[in-house]
Amino acid sequence: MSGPRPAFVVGAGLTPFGDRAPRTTLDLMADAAEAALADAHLSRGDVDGLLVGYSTTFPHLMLSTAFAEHFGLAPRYGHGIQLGGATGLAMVAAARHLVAAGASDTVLVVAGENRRTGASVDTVLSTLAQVGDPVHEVPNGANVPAYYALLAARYLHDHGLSERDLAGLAVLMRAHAARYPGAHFHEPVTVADVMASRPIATPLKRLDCCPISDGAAAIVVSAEPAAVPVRIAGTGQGHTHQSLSHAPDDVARGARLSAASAFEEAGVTSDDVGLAGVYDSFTVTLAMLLEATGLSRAGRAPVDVSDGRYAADGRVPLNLHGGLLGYGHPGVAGGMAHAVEVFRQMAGRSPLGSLAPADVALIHADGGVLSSHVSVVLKRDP
Amino acid sequence: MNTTPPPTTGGIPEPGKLTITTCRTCGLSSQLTRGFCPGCGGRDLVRDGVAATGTVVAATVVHRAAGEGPLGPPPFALVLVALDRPFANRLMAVAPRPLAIGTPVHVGPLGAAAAAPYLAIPEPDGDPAPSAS
Repeated sequence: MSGPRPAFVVGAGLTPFGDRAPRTTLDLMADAAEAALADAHLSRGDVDGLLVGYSTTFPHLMLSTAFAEHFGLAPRYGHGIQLGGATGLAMVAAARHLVAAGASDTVLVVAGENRRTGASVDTVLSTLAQVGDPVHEVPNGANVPAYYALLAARYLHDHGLSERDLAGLAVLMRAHAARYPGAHFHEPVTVADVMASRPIATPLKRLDCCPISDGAAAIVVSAEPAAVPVRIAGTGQGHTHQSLSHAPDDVARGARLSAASAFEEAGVTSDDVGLAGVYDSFTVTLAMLLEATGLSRAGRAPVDVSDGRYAADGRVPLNLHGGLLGYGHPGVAGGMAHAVEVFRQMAGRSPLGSLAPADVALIHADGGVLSSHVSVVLKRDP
Repeated sequence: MNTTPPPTTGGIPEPGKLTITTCRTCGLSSQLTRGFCPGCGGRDLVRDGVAATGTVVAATVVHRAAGEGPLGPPPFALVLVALDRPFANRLMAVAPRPLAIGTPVHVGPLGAAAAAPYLAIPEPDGDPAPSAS
């Protein structure tokens, strides 16, 4: 055959998220990697490519090699990747490119971190704040919730929406998490609960914000399809700025560019998507990304949520594992968990059963402050 | 480190002049001091201290922070300001009280330190009508 080789997701592993002490970064990565290889019916010796995401609690110079030694791998290709919340999907896309180019046959993508129990909340806030401008933004006392609060204030202002509208997105994620084994949060919440939760940075309240979790995720990408072929049909990226001060007027333009590239390569449109995993670090992140990727119209994500479009039995089931807001957020693995559950649904391997038997799915994540975006379109081939 | 307290008016500090770098090649202006223009790479730059004014384009009140804000412990007001002049980017600044989107402000550094925070002060009688959000 001519052209690049197709690449398939053939296995996934996801640890429970939450308080996982005394598990370390490497412990958690090993747990997820072992589960993913078992899911793919592969052994360590089958892995010839290794991509790992960073860990803020274990900032190693050579994390891929450190993990290979720890877990017992000798890959022909390996390195780490750093792209904030978009790291996981950047690794999945890169794994696809490696397989397509013939550089690897079987790539293990893995990330984990004990961010909840391995660091204080103040340390995490200070570390993550550095995605902003260290000279012109951070000295103002700003942090990641504050950056997204500024986005949220503008989003609500532009679309004539209220905090209550955003609250519905948290309610949906917590409802999904309540049914998913291993989620950080098992209790559903109501709009009233979200509205009554303590302010973090107005208009965002505690339940508009994801938790800080421990956890890990792993995905195996291979040239050989599994029994149900789930192919990486398209990938895209967009990088418009690093700090919010330098964002374009159309602040989510990177997501538009990224999704458009992935859809074009896959030969589909947003209308074809029957299942989605979209990054949801905050309720406003999810709303803006649903709209920028074309799954909802501008300013319509909250009403689409309340109309049931993104429910498990809706037109586009979304983040069925509960997303970052419900399943939890240990860093890179948090952004990979969306991909894990999308793959599981398409492959018929979800602990929920096959709720969303879609043939086309979109996964999207952003890093920074809507700074860097990666989109992946998965197709289940007949 | 410069420890000179910023000037104050009736207890509220006043922002200093904003140092603006303008590229003589492409005309791009910003507060950045990089020795080159981030727009075109040009090195023919002119710096000028101005009394900068602008409009609040996004606003929050930070309740959870890893430490104190420049004006004191949380909660504190944080805004994003679009300047009233051609400018490459917006300025993030603290404010002495919560400000609504659309509020006209004057903005500049708070103190003379190399990485000083920015301070936005609403213009007298400048608050727009309260917004629904």
